[in-house]
Amino acid sequence: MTGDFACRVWHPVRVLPFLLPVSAAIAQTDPSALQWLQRIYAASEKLSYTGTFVYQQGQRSETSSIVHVADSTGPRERLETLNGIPREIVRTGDEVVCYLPASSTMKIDKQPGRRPFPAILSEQLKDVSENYTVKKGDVERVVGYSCQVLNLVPKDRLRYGHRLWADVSTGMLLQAKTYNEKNEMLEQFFFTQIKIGPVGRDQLRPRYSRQTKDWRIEDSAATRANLAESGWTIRSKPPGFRTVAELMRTVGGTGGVGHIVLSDGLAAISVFIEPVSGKRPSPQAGLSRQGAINVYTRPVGNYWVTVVGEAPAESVKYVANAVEYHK
Amino acid sequence: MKEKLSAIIDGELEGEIQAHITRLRSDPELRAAWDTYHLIGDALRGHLCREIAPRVISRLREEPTVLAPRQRAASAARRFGWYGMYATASAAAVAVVAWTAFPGWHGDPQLAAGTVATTADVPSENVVVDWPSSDVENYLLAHQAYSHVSAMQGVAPFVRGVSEERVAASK
Repeated sequence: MTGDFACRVWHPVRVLPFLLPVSAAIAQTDPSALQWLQRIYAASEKLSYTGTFVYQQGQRSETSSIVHVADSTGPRERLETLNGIPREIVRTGDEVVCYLPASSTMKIDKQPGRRPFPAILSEQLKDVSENYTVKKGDVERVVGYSCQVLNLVPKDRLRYGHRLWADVSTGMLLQAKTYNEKNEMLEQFFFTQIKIGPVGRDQLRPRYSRQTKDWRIEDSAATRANLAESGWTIRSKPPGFRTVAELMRTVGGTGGVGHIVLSDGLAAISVFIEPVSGKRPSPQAGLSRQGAINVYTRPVGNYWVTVVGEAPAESVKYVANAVEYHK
Repeated sequence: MKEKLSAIIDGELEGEIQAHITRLRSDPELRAAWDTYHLIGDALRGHLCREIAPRVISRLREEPTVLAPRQRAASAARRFGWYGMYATASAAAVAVVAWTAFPGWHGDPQLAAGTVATTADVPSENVVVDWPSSDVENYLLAHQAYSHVSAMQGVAPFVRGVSEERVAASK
């Protein structure tokens, strides 16, 4: 099975069109466009704002409110969905807490492998410019702000394209669209209202406190790990992707789940290696997707390998099929 | 004729190939069937190319010798018999179409279940399955934090899971 996959992937007729740059990407990255990307990352860490944004994917859209406070203690965020099932997400530093009042569940996730800004920035921008052509577009208006348009065109078909709208005066990202290889929009985020400027810390207080309810707590308890020592390797990675984190964690109440993160500087692909458990139903092998996220699951021995990424199905499957276990 | 076409793709009718190719060239319905079988084969082998018709037709015109027997498909057919092969392939193709037409996590559960059952150890990489939303959500939550796309947007991408939960609830 794995041998077959390697043959298929590297068959020259198959692989060449797959790896050849698309014609639009022949143009070189504009250095000032890369600086704009840097401004966007900086703004996401250093600005305070409150606003309402819409996530749209296909026929579905979700409206949420967001509060973002940046001060000497680092950025903190609170997001609350405004329609549909209530949910609240609060991020403080490396910790993300997700309140799901409908199921009285509180999910806590810490990211020990997540390196703080701006340590990641220079190598990340290098990766981005190797894998995407970044070009400045026009200045367009979004939610009342003049925005610089940035086009990130993938250099091959292993990743998606992005178009970003960033406020000219602050660098704040106000709209982002993701496109597939046929230039069809897969999903977008856009603000419908935003106020950039100082925000009171009281607005960060969660609506659902830990005391008000009998919450079922699911803690990811993630720790750094060396999965190669446990016998898990990724035989080959899609060009442009490299490993950026390796963890052991609990996922949905199942402990001992390996988690490897690959990144091309912009898109990330997560590999989850979960022991088969009698406690809950097994996931089904196969592919599923939502917007720009593809998920692919396959069994490897007594484990389920699930790969999640905001990348084309080909890339996600490539990674899943390259996961190997050697004792 | 369509069964024979299927057999050609799997390299089981080498002696008669030339005659079939001549008919294939002149009959649009057969050409469509040809495309479908290739789509099915590609789906089973884990490839999906959406420009199959022009590609196959241009190859047929220029280079009939590309119709070399394909060992893997033929062996799969032998293992499951023709009916099994065809049923499996059709289900996979429909599932792929369903996936393309209705973006979202869930394919048709019946279709997916039927496909998984009939494929046994045949790779079914493009088959879309119905996935319990809580699993996807847990993985998404764990994944989002490491995405640099997400980093630009703060916690905004975490609402992806919200859409999923809504769909699950409205089923």
